[in-house]
Amino acid sequence: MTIRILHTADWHLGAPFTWISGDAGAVLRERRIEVIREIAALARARQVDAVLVAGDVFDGQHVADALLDRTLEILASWDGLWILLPGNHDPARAESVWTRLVRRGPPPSVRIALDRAPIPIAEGRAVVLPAPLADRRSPDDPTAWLDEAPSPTGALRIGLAHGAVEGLVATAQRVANPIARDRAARAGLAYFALGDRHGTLEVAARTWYAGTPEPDEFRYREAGNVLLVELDGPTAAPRVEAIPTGRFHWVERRLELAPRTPAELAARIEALRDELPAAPERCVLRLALDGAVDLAGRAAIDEALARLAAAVRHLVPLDELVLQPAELELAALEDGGPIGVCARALHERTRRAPSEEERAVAELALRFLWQERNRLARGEGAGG
Amino acid sequence: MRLVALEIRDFRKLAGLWRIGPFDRGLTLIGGDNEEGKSTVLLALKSALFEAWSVGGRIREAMTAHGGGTPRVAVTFELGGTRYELAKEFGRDCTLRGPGGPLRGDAAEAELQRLLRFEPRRGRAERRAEHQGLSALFWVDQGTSFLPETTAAAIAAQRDRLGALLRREIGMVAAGPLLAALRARIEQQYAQFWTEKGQEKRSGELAALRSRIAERESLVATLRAARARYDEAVEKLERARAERARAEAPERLEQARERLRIATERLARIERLEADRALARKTVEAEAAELRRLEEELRARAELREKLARDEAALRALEAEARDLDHRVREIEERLAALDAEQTRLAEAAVAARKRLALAQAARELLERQQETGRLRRLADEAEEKAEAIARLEAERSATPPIDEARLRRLKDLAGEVDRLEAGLLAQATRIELFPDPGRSARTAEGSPIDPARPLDLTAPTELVLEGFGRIRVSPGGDLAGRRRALAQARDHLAAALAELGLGDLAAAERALARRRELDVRLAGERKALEGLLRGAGVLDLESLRSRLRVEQRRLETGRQSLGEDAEPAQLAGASDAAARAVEESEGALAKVRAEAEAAGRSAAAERERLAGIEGRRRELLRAVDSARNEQLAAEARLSEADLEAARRAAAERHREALARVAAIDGELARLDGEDVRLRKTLAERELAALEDEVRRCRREVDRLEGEVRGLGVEACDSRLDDLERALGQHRAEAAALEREARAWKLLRECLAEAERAGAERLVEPVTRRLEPYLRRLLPEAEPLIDAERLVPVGLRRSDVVEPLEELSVGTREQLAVLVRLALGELLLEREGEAPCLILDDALVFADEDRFARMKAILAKAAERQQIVVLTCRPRDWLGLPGTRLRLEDCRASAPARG
Repeated sequence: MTIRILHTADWHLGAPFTWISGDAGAVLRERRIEVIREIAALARARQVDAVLVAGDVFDGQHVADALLDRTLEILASWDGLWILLPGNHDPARAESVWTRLVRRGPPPSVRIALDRAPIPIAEGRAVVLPAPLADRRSPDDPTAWLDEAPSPTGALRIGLAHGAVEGLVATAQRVANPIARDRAARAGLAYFALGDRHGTLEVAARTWYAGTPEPDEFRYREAGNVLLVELDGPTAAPRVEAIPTGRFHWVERRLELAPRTPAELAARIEALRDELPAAPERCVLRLALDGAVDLAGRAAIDEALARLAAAVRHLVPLDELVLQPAELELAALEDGGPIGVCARALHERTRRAPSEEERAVAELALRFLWQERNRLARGEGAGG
Repeated sequence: MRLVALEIRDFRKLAGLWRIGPFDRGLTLIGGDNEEGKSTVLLALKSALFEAWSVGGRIREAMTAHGGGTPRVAVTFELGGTRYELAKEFGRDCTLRGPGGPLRGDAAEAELQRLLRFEPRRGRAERRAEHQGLSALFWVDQGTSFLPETTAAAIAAQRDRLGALLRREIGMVAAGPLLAALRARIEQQYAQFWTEKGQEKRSGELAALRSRIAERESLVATLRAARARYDEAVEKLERARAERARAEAPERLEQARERLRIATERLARIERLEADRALARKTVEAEAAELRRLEEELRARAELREKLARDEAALRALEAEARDLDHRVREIEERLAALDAEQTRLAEAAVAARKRLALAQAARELLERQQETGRLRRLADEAEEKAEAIARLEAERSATPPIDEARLRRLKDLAGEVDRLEAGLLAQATRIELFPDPGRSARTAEGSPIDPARPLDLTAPTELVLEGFGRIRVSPGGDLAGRRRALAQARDHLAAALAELGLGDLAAAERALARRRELDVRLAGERKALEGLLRGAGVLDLESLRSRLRVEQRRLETGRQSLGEDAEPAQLAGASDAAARAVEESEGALAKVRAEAEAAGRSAAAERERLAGIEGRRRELLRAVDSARNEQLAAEARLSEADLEAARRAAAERHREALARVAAIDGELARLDGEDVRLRKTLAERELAALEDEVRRCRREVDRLEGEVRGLGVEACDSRLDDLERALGQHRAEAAALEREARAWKLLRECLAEAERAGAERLVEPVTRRLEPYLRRLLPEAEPLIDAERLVPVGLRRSDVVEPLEELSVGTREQLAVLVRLALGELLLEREGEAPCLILDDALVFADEDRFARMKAILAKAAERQQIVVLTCRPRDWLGLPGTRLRLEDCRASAPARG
């Protein structure tokens, strides 16, 4: 008889998104809670035998008690078995978010895999072999014990771990919490449910990273899923279905700009909306701007960026544009008197600034001069 | 503008009509004495050009000449090559004739303002530089040319005009309203962030943001510290739990317990062996004691035998010695009896000799006392005589007047004063000498005749009767009455002093003092003699001498009575030596016998004591010998000596057996090493206790840390930290943006100000360029310093040293002010095609000769391009200059109208 599980990981409940201010940050934080409620609904709908959460359920040990209460309340909305695994963000330490959760009295359907002890599921037809992390970073493979882990005869062996599969990321540094790529084969696992990588990925035979159910960074395009896994037997290949759950898209774009008319530059910014994978309000956009623009173009870009920021959920501008006033613009500032001299001096400063910050200040001063001079020339009063 | 001619009528000092001119195109010098009206010429010119024709009140009154009349000034001038004729009769009319025909009244005034570019003065407003156009700068009143404020105010009034010229020259555009508005806008933005001094504001958006950041950072730090404490406590808890697990490991406790059990069993066996050994050692000690007792008894029996033999021998020797001693005692006692009889005889002889000696000594003392009493009696008699003589002399001294040296000096002073006053009175007296005819006489008013042979010295009004003539009254002049009173007073004082001493006159006083001195000398001699007598008797006064004499006489009487009535003292005293020798001999013999008797007594006592001692020892030996014999008999009766020896051998055998048993146990104990076993047991006990303690301690520590972690967790898991960090991040970003904006506004402000400053400095350059040639002629080594903003000279630089204007001499300041005007004149000439006329009223009065000569040369050179009018009261100083020279007094065209 088929065993059906939901594999998810990296909920990172309580992630503060401190760098996203205002309402956007609040919405993103709230979304990380709400997606759990959707997972519970999914579990009910797909009638799974258990939901395996492969670590990093919480973003840290210091999440507030209110969040723990709310998490338990959501988990209780589905009375099937939840198996929660401590990961590197929420390791099972002597005192941890888990001990606090235990003290709050979780329902029996919530099992916290604090020990390396098999957990039977589906009336004993399968056993989950958890590899909880007790430290944030460990040089040892936490899944090594799975090779010798006992399990009832005939029961499917399902591994549950949190860490970095060796060789997945090319790095010269020693990887923390390493996991042998062939662990599933060595430990006779029918399925190896992993967490840590926020994008969904089949990393080896029978071995999957579920990824985070709600994207939270720009790195992984394939984030925002939970995996419905169906296991027919110890040797049968698992049937894995990635079910999208993410609401927000984390998008990165880079624009290389050159001096154009202000309208053309504004149009380049505006065109980004059409390139987004979803409605702008469901996108968190990191926009890198590079190149050089003149004073008028800079003003047009600023206005276009303001409009774009209002449209998307959150805009992270990486503004590396260099101000390159056109000779005509500088000439326009030339009055044969102090304004022209001042403009030339500021322009010179932007070119010879000893630091990036000094350059930015000089650019801003030049922009102010240009804006104010134009505004006054248009007849707008000093109070405007 | 170029002045052509000037006509003044009835204007202040210049009463009547004055025609001044024509003015030279170059230099015109108008000379005139002080108070002659040179400054009035300048004032009239200014009034004509810049005062309204209709002006009234005080201003017009001030113009009016002292002799009355309507003030009138007519000026002919050229401007831009066009000639104008202005005639202004104040309060009446004004006419300006130019190329467009004559203009009158206010139209003329308006045209004048347009031509000369000045702002008319309104009402009674104070006259300022802007009310006079360029002339405010170029027409320098007397005594003001050296004042910096005069130049500054005049240039300020023409700042726009001059600035425009300068900008035109350097190709700079004038700052328009756009720049002003831009500057205002920048200032407005700058003021949001910065203070006037360029410090960041403590209020405002950025400051508030920084304050909020600081508050939140503080709170975040607190909460992070709480988390750090929590994490640290969790770390400790984990370590404590690991330690507890290690401590609770069952194998460690089991091993410790097994080690304790083995050690305990071994120790129990050792303790049993030690008990057996103790018992065996007691047996050894008991057998050894019995053996010692038997051996002791055998040794005691042998010693008793030896002692009995020694005592019996000693007893025999003592009895022989006692007999010898008894014989010697008897011999000594006989000798003692003989000595006692000799002592009795000698004692009686000595008593008789001492009686004789005492009698002889008493007789000698009586003789000596008789001699002493005789001496004292003679001394007492002489002393009595001296005492009587002293009493007589003292009585005589008491009878003389009590005068001394001081009193005599006082009397002499008083007598001298009387003499001095008398002489003075006589010196003032009126001397009357009478030369009566024969038969005639004179007498006093009282009738006493006057001896004509003796002149009369009258010191008081006196009436004389001259026979045949009648009475004559003589009244001496001067203060004779006062002199008489003083003389009478002095005489009274002298008389009173003499009366107090009982003396009649000064001579008596001197005699009395001489007598007192003689008596004092004699008294001193007598007293000294008396003291010598008393000292010889050994007493202090006469009464003591008398008392001592009485005592000696009583002792002498008593001594005679003790010798007896019939005794002859001299005879008795002569036998005293023989008596003394008899006493000495008899007492010497007695002492010798007594010593011999005492030695014999001591010898006898010693022998008797020795005899008693021998007897005591003999009795002791007798008792010891008896006791030893009894003891020998009793021991033998208890146990024979052979049986005693057999018992000793049996006891020795048992003792050896017991020793062997002890040695065997010792060997076993040594093999078991009790000390090591005890040490092991102790260590095992301690180890077990330590392990159990460690387990308890670890459990307590874990319990404590669990409580601590839970307590810390409440604060560490505070969700406010996330909120705060979010807010902090936002604030920091906002602050960074605001800070950048603030710096940008500051930079913009600085750059604009710098640009304006640079522009202003460029503006100065044309002035400096024109000024420098003049200044080189005046001060070859100096460079001018011109304020870029105000275009006024602010000092000089000489040899790289800046000298501010206020530190320059008044003369140099004045000369510099004239040169600046010449330079500005050049500027106007070159830029507007016409230089203004420069009028100097009594200028350069502070210049020294050299500077004055240089300034003259400069003005001569400048006059080639610029019209210059010099009003001076010292025209000779200005000789040699080219141009027109006028004398003001020569300019009077008509006398003032009278009345």
